[in-house]
Order: sequence, then structure tokens, then C-alpha cells
Amino acid sequence: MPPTLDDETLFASVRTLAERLRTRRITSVALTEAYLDRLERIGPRLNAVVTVLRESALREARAADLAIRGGTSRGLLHGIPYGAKDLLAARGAPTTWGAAPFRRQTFDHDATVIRKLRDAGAILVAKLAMVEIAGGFGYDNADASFSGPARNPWNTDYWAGGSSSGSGAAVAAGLVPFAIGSETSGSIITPAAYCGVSGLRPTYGRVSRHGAMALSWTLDKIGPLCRTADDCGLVLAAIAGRDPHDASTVARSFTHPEAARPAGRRYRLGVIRGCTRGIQPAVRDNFTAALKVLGEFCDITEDVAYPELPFGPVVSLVIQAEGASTFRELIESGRIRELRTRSMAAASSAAMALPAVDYLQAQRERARMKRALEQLYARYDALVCPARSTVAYPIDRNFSAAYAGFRGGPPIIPGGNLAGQPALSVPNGFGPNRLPTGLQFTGKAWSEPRLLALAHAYQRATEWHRRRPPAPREAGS
Amino acid sequence: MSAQTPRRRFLKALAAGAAVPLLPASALAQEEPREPAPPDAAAALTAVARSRCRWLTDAHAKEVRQDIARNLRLADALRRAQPAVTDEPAFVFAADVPEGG
Repeated sequence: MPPTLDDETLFASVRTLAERLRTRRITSVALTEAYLDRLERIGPRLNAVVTVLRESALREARAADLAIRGGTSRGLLHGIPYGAKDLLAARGAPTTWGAAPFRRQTFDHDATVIRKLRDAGAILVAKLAMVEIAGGFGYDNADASFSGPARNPWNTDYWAGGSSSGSGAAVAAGLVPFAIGSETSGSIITPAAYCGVSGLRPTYGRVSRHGAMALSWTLDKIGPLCRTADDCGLVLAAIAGRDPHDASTVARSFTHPEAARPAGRRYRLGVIRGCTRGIQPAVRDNFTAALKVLGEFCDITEDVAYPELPFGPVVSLVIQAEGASTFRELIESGRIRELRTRSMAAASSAAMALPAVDYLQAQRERARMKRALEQLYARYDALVCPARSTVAYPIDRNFSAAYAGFRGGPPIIPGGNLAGQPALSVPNGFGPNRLPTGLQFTGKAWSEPRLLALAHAYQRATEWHRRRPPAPREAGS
Repeated sequence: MSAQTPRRRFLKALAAGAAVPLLPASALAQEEPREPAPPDAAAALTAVARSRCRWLTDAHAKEVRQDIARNLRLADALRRAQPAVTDEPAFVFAADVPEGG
């Protein structure tokens, strides 16, 4: 018998669900059962789910209820179900990396993020679909995962974005209240924007990658996708921190009380020059409307120049060199040909012959990029731009053939990733084919509290994050 | 669908960030030099790739060579940057062993 929680509950924020659990208006078991039911019924329709963890999730939910009834709470995530991108190791479940050669892969340990969330009382209900090996070596269409193209809950003829595809789709469709994704260069911001959810890419070193598939050690980040920016802060507070198993992590504290606008202070916001050039008109209009809202509590400087540095070549060379090292056995053995994306075979083989000096030159260039961006961002609390230049790509066409003429503005995503800076995308409207658009806040390293406060203030003034996609048809219907 | 991706389009996407959604395609279009990479360098590196990936067919090798030529052009784009002597790579070696081993 399906659980009887209404949509208002299933699409509620984590903070709201936590309050209902604390006051025992709902139980963790009821909540978990309801999301499991949706994951099993709706998940296949969206190709969003790889593994549903029914047994372990219900066991943990029963324990959470028992603890809550006994007056013991581990915090706001206690008893809250969530999903994890299938590149995070979780003991007892397959960890497929979205790729056929790894579909039976298991690990005997939990990724640090999974462990931290378990310690916080959150309940892992599903491993979520992703682009195979996180899109390393390139892909040009949505059918780049062994679980099939992840469909956008707002319009299933369109892609959910990637590489954290299932994480974006599952949150948007109300299959989980929050999910964990990862980003090397765009893989959280893109599905967040395409699916109309809030997605936070933390500063490099804020969150441990231990137990996560590596694509690029110097670029990979783990972060949350949620309904609200406030929820992103709550989840980040649970997963952030130094981890002896990941040398890139630093011991910086991060706490997240409900973000509120500091009294008597207006934010200094910059608009990146050229960020509305070459983008879809609806994306531009939504961005312009968002700026009007932000103008209520921000001093906005228009036309801020983004440094003209070779972000594209550098990020490409770094990902290829590090990815080739990570997947050397897969490439040399020829098993890379088992991937859905046929072109990865040649591209990865080419990466095997990338001269070390070219890789090092790219890494030296990053040092200069970091300095240039640090200098730029020192003058602002955040810079804003559209998260993506178009709405989601159609499932049935190559990306390169869709939306011809909309080439996008400055390279904010590779720039921010190369510099290790945080970014946050929140929904700011809809474009063609009833698909969401995103507003991206970017800031200097470790500025997550400011980005979260800004986005939270924006969401207090708007309703886009409260919109729900149409009820999806069930698998087989 | 993947196999039908026009090679040139795919390479453009790849250079724009190793995955299409990773980067706006415009980023690289402006930065990538137009002149072809030295053919002998691409050929030599293709031989390296073939020696490491012995499963590569002649058809694969043609694609690999195109990808390598593109990587060389990307690397050439960085030559103009002239980093300072003090610009160390953006990762650091630490002598101490991490606590976790």
C-alpha cells in the first residue's frame, strides 16, 4: 500500500521536513517509504536511478524514528532521505560510475560524504544516475550513461543535464528531498539549472572526495543539489571539513544557520560583461528580471570584465591528463570501448599521449588564473550570470547541433572550476518548452556563506524554487 | 547516437571542456589558434598512443591523430601565456604523509 504523504510534503524543503520530523507530525519511515515508492515508480521513467536501497533505508529510518521518539536528534538531517550520485562508494551497494564496465563494481567502504551524512542521521535511499565516468574525454548527447539518457522532469523529451544527471532529476521530480552530486567543470551547476533546482559547487578542498570516483584530482568537487539554497547550506554543513583521507581538504569550519541578510548592509554584486550575449532570449529575459529582484538588496555594478585567459584549453588539458591517468587500465585494455560514448575510445587514447610538459604548463597557467580571479572577486560579494546559455538540450539530438547560434558568454564555469571557487545556481524562470533556467552566483574561494545568503534572499523574494514539474507518467505507462 | 557524432563537432565540444556541458562552447572557439599543429609531432604522439593502446585499429588511429593534433593546438594556445618563473603548477607536493596513509 503506497504511503499517503501529499505532494506538499514530498516537495518540501529539508528544513521544513526536519521541523515536521522533530515535532513528530511525520515519521522518517513514512517519509522514506514515500520517497522509495516514487523512486521505484517514477525513477525509471526518468532514467534517474541506478539502485534503490529499500531495505537498508527502511532499517535506518526505523532507527531514526526510535531515536527521535527517545528525544535524541543528530541534527536537522536526522531521518531525512537522500540520494547520491553513483560515483560515491557506499558499502553494500553497487557503485557503477554510470558506465557499463563498472556496473558490477562494489566497494567495502563508504565515501566520506556518505559516512558524514549517515553520522548526521540522513538516510541513503538511492544511488542516482550519472554520465559515464562523469563525462571524462567528452560526450555530445544525452545517451552517455549505461542507464540511458536522464530525462528532465519538466519535459521528458529533454535532458536533465550532467554529469550529475540523476541528482538533478531526482530532486526536481520529488524523488528525494536532496541529493549529492559532483563537479569537475559544470556537473552540478548544469543539472541544477536545467532541472530547476538549487545546486552548490563548494570551494575546492571544502568537501572530501575520499570514496568518490576520481576524474581530475585537481578539479573534482562534491556538493549538494536541493530545493533551496538554504537546504544547500544545511547539507554542506554536514559534509564539509578536513578529512585525513583526502589531502586536498582543509580544516575550515562551515556552519549554516538559516541564512539571513545582514542588517544594514547591502551586497556588492557584479554583473559579468557579455554574460547575456549569445544566449537564448528567454534566458536573457529571466536574468534581467532576476537582476531587478537582486537590486532590492544589492548594489549592482554592471559590465564587470572577466579576465581573458585560456580557461578552455587549460581545463581540457588538465581533465584529459588526469583522466587518462585515472582510467589508464580501462584505456590501455581497450575496455573503454564498452562505454556508450564511442568517441571516448579515441579521445582517451589521445590523452594517453599528452606530453607531461603540456599538462604542467596548464597547471602553471592555473596559478595565474587564480590570482586574476581572486583580484577580481575581491571587489564584490559575488558575480552573477545566467547559469547556462540555453535551456536543457533535447534528448534526440547531438548537443553540438542543438541551439545553433547560442554560443554563450564568458567562460565562467571553467574559470571558477580552475580557480577552485564556489558557485551556486538557483532557478529563476522558464524558457522554451517549459524548461527551467538558472541564475548563477559565483564568489571567491570560501565565500559559500555569502553566496548562500544572497541566493536565500533571492529565493525569499521569488517563487521559482517552489514550482513543481508536471506529474510524470510511470514506467510502462 | 554517439557513434554518429560528427568528428569535428565532437572535437569542438571536447576542447570546450572534456564534456559538452562542462563548458560553454564559445570559450575555446575564441582561444584556439587556427593554424594546424606540426604533423610530425601528431604522428609521433599517435605512435605513442598506439604502443600503449594496442587495440587501436587504423580507423581508430586516424581519430586519435586528430584528437592529438587538437591537443597540440590547445597546448600551443598556452605558449603565448608565458608564465612567470614563480608560477608553480597549481598543486603542491607535501613532504608529510597524510594521516589516513
